Amino acid sequence: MSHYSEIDMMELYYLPDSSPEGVRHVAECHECAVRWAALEAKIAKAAEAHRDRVDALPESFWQRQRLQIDRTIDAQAGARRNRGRLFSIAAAILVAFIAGALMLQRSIGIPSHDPAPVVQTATGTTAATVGDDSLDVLQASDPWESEQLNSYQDVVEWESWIEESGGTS
Amino acid sequence: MEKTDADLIEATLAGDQAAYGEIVARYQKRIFRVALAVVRDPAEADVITQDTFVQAYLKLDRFEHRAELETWLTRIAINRSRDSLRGRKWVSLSSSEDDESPAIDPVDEHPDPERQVASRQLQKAIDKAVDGLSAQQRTIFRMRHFEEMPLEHIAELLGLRAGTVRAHLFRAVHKIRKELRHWFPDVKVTKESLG
Repeated sequence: MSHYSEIDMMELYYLPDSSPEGVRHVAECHECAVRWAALEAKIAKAAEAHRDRVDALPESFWQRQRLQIDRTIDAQAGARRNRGRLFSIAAAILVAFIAGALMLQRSIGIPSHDPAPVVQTATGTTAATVGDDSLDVLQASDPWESEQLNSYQDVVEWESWIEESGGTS
Repeated sequence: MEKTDADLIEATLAGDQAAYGEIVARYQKRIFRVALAVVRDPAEADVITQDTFVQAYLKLDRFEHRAELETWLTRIAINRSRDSLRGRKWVSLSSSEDDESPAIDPVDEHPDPERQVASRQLQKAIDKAVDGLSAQQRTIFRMRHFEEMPLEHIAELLGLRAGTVRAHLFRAVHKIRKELRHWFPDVKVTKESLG
């Protein structure tokens, strides 16, 4: 007849439902029952030693641990508060900066960024990147756009017609 | 009359830090014991216990009272302990923890020398064998072995199904059995399998 060793019984001990056959055998076999009791005692002793090890710690150990936890919580809470304060200060600075920039823009009247106008001149095209007033001056100095030429408009058109028809008639 | 956990939580959330001190005092021993069961190192268990309570404090407003406070704290401690075991494999090459004797000797009010030696031998053998397991298997085995927790409770704490925990424990015990064979040369008759 075969029996269970203590090591084999470990499986029965930790997972009793893994082998109903094994449990039955241990219950019926005196030799295995003795081994089972020995194993049970050893394992129970290990758990007991573990508990005793913790119970044996002096009160000063727990006090120090509590103190350490309190300090860490204080530090973490303080860090959180500081983070919150820093964030508030940074947000206030940002809002003040934006408001200041807007006010400055309004007070000195910086124009908004419209597309730069293109001015046609007699010698070609020039991109004007100056303000509206300067543009008026430039437009006024353009000889083809001057009011003086308006009275000669018909002549200019007739001369253009001569050229287009090849100047033969 | 002793305040309930719910009272202490409420007071803590209202800004009473002394109330949280009471929670710590109430559960620190239990949390330390669970952490020690898993990591087997008092200094590490101490750090884990502190981390557990600090983390719990910072997340106390998210505690939903679906589980007991003790279960919630134990869950944090076990997860933290398991992470610690996982991290250990990176330093295991340079550490000699296996050969170190425990920092705190077990206390026995009624020592029985023979029984004590046998249980210490078994404990050493088990510790050595368990070191070869995965972090998950080690955690489960030690919770069962040192804390004598039922599988269902271990499953709840680890957020696993009982069947999964059972499978891990089965594999762990199987590996330990293999490792321990040479520790019991006196066993002559052995049934091959329990299955």
